[in-house]
Amino acid sequence: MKTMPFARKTVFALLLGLLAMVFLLPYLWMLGSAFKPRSELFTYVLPVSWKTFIPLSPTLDNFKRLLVDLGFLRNITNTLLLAVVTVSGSVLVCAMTAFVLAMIEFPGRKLIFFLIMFTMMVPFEARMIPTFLVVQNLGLSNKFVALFLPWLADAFMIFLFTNHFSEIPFDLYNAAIIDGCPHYKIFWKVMLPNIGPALISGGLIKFFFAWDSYVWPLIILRSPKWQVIGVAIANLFTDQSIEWELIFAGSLLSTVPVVVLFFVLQKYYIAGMMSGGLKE
Amino acid sequence: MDRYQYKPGRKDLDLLFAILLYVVPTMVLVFLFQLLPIYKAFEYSFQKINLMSGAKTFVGMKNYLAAFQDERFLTSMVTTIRYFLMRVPIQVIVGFLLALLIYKPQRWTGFLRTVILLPVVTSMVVVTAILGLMMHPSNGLFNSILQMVGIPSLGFLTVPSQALESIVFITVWKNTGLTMLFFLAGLMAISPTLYEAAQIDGASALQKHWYVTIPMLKKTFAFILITTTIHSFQVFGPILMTTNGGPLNATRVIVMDIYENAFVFNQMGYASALSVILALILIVISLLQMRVSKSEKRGKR
Repeated sequence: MKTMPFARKTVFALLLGLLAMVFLLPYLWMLGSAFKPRSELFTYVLPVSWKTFIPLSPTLDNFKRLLVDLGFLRNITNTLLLAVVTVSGSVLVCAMTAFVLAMIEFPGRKLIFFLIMFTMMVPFEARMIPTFLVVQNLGLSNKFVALFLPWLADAFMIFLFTNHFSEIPFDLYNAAIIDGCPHYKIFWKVMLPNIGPALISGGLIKFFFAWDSYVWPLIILRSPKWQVIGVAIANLFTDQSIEWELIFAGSLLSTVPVVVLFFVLQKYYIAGMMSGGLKE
Repeated sequence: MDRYQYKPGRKDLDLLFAILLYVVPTMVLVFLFQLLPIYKAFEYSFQKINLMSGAKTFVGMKNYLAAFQDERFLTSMVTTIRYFLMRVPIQVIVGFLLALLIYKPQRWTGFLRTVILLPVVTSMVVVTAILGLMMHPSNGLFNSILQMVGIPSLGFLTVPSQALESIVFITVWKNTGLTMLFFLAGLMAISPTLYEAAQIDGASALQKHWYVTIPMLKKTFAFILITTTIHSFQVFGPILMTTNGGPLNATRVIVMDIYENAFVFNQMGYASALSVILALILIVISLLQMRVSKSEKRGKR
């Protein structure tokens, strides 16, 4: 009788391990292969063994080739700049609007709310072509600003912040008015510090989004000057080259910052996503 | 919910300034990059556009009429619906089961949750690249594993009969963690007393889920079904990167068709008409979601 639960526990643990492997295996394969010389890459494909995942003679050549010869360093700094600008810009712009929508009643408030909600209904894929034409007509194509300007006003973030501003007791607003604080100052002096966690959630989600840029920079940029890491990796992949080691190394470089951020700020990411899911 | 009332007049000039300062930037951006493109798509959809000369000629309904006789477009619609029919049930069921598995905090649940969420935060390009290489017919990890357990190799993305399924696999693998997260949010909102009551009534674990969890998650299910459906009609990136719509058009979904018409065939007007059709489909689905969540709210009152 005592061995039964133990056996069941072991089977359960094995199943859990298997499940975790479904999600981890691609990462382990990428991690090991990124440090393999090409000669080793295709040698241990079959049968699958520890040699498939662990480099026998680890090398940094793949990274050197990517960063120095293939201009990945530029792609990475471009992407980092894009992510920082997108995050700070959209958090600021969206929080400002959310503050007004949540705390002030004025004629036109409902209309603005509706327009923002309407933009949520027509996602990027459905307006990719006209957005491309509009940005081109504005003379912005091929410029860095074209990469982030269309993504600053974000309905998801505006609603996320609006919900959080709404939870602040209204007395705080009145108290600030009585203290003689002008309205525009109430936003950043009194209210903004109260929704810190939501700002982190929204900013983090936006960071992952900006880091994920692929289709938009691909169509809007013609010169490689501002090209981002997503497009660079996709190019390596679609070239159908056999330089798999470069794809692995590039993918690893692109994944490390995201995973580190996620590990550190996971709590905020989950909170932000969950409140998005609950919203009606 | 209390709000500060703005009353037009001298006294509230300070408030008007704040409203304008904080709303105008967003509205300019929304107008330029979201509303204007939506309007332009509508306008362009009645035109034939020459990208080189910039000349636009009005052609009336021609683009729309052409769309419904265009076999490529109609096939891409069917392909999108096939993709949606495969992806939505799989992602929703897998996400739901994963949420049930890690709902009650135990020693391993935090770890598992993090692991399942990794693909969600990893960029789509990386996920597609790595899984794409794993699916390589001769050097990929999947076929090695299959061969070791005695299953013949698969062609995955290179075979018309498996390509769309492979795209479903990639997108479900990446996004199922998000679905799980939405279900977790719903599960956490269920009052534990309901389970206690079911326990007292002698319900088994399965019965508890059937009679308590699933009815209580109706709204969550509706939300997830509809958002996943919308995402299914938007699928594009992984296809552009791997198959480019092939092999033999097996993965030519609507957005792929729009992209090709615009950037390969230079048919901007026609591509705009197709965009309008896609937008209308998505708006209808969104309105459906609003109705569902509204009727739920009314039901609660």
